Amino acid sequence: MIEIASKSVLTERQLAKLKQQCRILLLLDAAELVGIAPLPSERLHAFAYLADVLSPVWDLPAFDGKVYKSDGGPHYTELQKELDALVILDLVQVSNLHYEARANKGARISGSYGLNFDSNHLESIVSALGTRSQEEAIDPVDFALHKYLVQLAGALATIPDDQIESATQVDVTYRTQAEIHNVVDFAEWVDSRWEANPSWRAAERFKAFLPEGSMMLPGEKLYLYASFLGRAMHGK
Amino acid sequence: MVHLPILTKLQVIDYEMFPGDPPGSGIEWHFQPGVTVIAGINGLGKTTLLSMILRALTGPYDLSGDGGSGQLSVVMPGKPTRLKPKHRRLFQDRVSDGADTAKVLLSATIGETSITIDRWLKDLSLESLKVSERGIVLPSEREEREEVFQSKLAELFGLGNFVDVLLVLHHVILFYENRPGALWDPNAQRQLLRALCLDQEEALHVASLERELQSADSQARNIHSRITSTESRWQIALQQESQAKGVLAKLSAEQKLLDAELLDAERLEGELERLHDAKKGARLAYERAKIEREEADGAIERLKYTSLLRHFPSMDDTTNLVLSRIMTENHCLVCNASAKEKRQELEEQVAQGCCPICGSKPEAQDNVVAFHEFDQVKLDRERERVERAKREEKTQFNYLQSSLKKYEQTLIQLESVQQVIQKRTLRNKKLRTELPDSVTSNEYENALNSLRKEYSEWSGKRAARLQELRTLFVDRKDTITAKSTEIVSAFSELIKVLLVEDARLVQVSAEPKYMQAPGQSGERVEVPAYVAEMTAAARPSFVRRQYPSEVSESQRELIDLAFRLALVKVFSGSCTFAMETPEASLDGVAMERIGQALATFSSLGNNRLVVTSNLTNVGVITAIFEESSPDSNLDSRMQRVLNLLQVAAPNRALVKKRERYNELLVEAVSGTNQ
Repeated sequence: MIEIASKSVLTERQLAKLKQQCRILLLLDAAELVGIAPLPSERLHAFAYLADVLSPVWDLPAFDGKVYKSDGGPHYTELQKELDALVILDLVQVSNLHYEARANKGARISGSYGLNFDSNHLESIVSALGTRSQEEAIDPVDFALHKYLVQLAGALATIPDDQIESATQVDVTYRTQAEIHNVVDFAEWVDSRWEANPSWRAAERFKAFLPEGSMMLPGEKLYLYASFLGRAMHGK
Repeated sequence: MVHLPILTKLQVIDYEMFPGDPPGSGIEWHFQPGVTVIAGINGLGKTTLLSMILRALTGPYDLSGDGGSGQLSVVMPGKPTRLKPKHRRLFQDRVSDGADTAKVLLSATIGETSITIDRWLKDLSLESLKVSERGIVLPSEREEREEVFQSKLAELFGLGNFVDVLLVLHHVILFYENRPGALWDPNAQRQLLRALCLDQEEALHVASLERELQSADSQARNIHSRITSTESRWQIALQQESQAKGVLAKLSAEQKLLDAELLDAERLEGELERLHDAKKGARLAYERAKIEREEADGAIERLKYTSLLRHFPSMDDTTNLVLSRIMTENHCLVCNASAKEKRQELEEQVAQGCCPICGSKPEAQDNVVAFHEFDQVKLDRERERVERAKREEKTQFNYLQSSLKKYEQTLIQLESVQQVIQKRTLRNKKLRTELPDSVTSNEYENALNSLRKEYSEWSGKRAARLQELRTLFVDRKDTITAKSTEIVSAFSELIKVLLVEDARLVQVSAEPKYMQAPGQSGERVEVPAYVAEMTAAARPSFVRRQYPSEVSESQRELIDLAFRLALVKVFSGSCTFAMETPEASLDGVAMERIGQALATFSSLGNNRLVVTSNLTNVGVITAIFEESSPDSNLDSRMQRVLNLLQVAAPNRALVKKRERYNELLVEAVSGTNQ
């Protein structure tokens, strides 16, 4: 049980839900800022995965250090559940809602998601998550995380919109670290995160192409990695 | 490209067990494309005839002195092993004349090349070898003759050496009665992928590295045990030399405790490794269960959503999502409280055509299309599936939590034991400084230092080989998995016919147990491998079956058969596949399925299939003929039967009941027994 300032008490489960919802709001806010919102479900899940796998470039921990590799790219059941909860809480808008058929006669919800700027509460919540300034952020890490997500979203925006979800198929970690129907573990139970995350290694390698003594900013590494994904999708 | 043999002709000359028809003619059998059935009752020599095919190809050598078709060890031998005398005399011991003049001649096409092997049955020695119809000049020494033969066969197969030829014979194309594993034997599977996927030089290099690694590990372990015994003698010497009995007693007691703690640490390290694998398995199962549950929920939501949308077409997406969710789940998505009553209320309202938001009756509504009912039967079925998926998710969650807990507890125990060991080692070192110096104990100490140096060298070699293997497997992963999609797809096609349950092949990473020394848990090498996954009653999705004990005997056999045939299809195209008594562990329905699968295999390309039958359970034979030549008459089918009732020396059962056995054979071949 976790006690927070208001003296109310949150269970681990409630805390996990809240964290997941904050993660979604940060992802969607970053997408809005670079003009790629609203995000179709598959694109949002792909963005969440790439944010996790590339987080060490920005010296941040991954929200989830693993993902189950099934048909159709990364998909997080918890993220989807809390995303729909945010729609019901009126903080997120959904459009083009429909259900896509899955194997074994199952179905998966699909839609395009963006922040609901008509909500009376949205602005104060996203400000508290550090999306506007460091001073307004309750947790300074959130401010850094948002800054990172905006850079990553900007990098991904250089790939045509409808190809962002396909980018995970050529991402080095997703492609090579596990076969389909297995867990891709790049940061959860691995001996060495550096060895288990070839996407991170690839992003760091770009600085080898610079003249000796030159610096490369983390944001530049993200842009170069996104450019690599774009080229890899077209077999260049 | 690997080439597997397509058998064309088998001759057995002057062997008492097979006098032939007419007597004295022996056996001369031409294998046609398609099926050959070797039929005969027990004791007439079906297994002997299949063994002749095997031994014509292997000569007096195999993977082990006992014949080499059991479970493989972790490394492959560098060269073939000469069979033990009793196995070399297999054919000699079965007849009264010692098979003095008996021979077997086997002809085959391997790739584009024809080959005829001529061997003496008394000792399996090679009499002659023809390649492309021309006799090969063989040295006079027997062993040298075999070396020439082995190297020729490896070259024709397109494999690195004769050991890999033996591997492919036993674990791919000759599915004899003891059913050596291909998928289920992790070592055989790994070696097959090595031999079939890598180029010859690399395949041999990997096998050689594996042997070197195991040898270094074995040396390191031996030296470690010598260190332990020398340490013990050193202690005794110290004890004898020292007058400081009190210190020695204390030291001895401390050493005993330390030994016990070291053993405990080793045990915990092993346990930790096992628990690490267990928690990874539990995580995978939980991730799958979550997806299955989400998609099962989605199916219900879709029904509700579609229904609402038909009835209230102008309802916006958000409202529809809220209502669909409440009507699907039993709790509120906003506050997580139980919403079962609300769900029922909404369902009743919608069922009566009332608005789910304001409750207005149908006649007061605008913006509606028509009254629409839920498909209750479909809904109930989906709900049942959701309940099953929820139970599975809960079970897997609990299993994951318990795996994590056990892992954490063991880790804490290990850390605590390691701390105690560290403290005790320091204390013992301090105690030893209090003992007087002596020549004998110094000698032991010197010996110990030298052994420790040697141990460190072998450990270093072991680490270097391990690293080399690890790098090689990482570099060559793409080569080894290049045909993964084809293997998985070929397996999928075959298994659909062979099994009632859904099954699939999944590519995974395996960790071969090269080293037996405890405490090597950090030193892993990952290699690509395949495992089978199957559906089962009361489980919502595919479940991984990693060990043969997790499936029934017939499922194990059929899955392995599908894997072997998939390897043939992907790596060679055509070959002769031999299966001894396919009906051995199967029920009636399974026999039809295996018959259908084998018939399909035999009809593809230039494939030939050789199966044996003992006429006691002939459903497979009937099924093979019904499937492969449904319209052919009895005579043309009988031409595909190598009939041991006719050509073998009769035993007492045959002499007494020949007529009945002939009838049984006709019934099996013609299908009139059904």
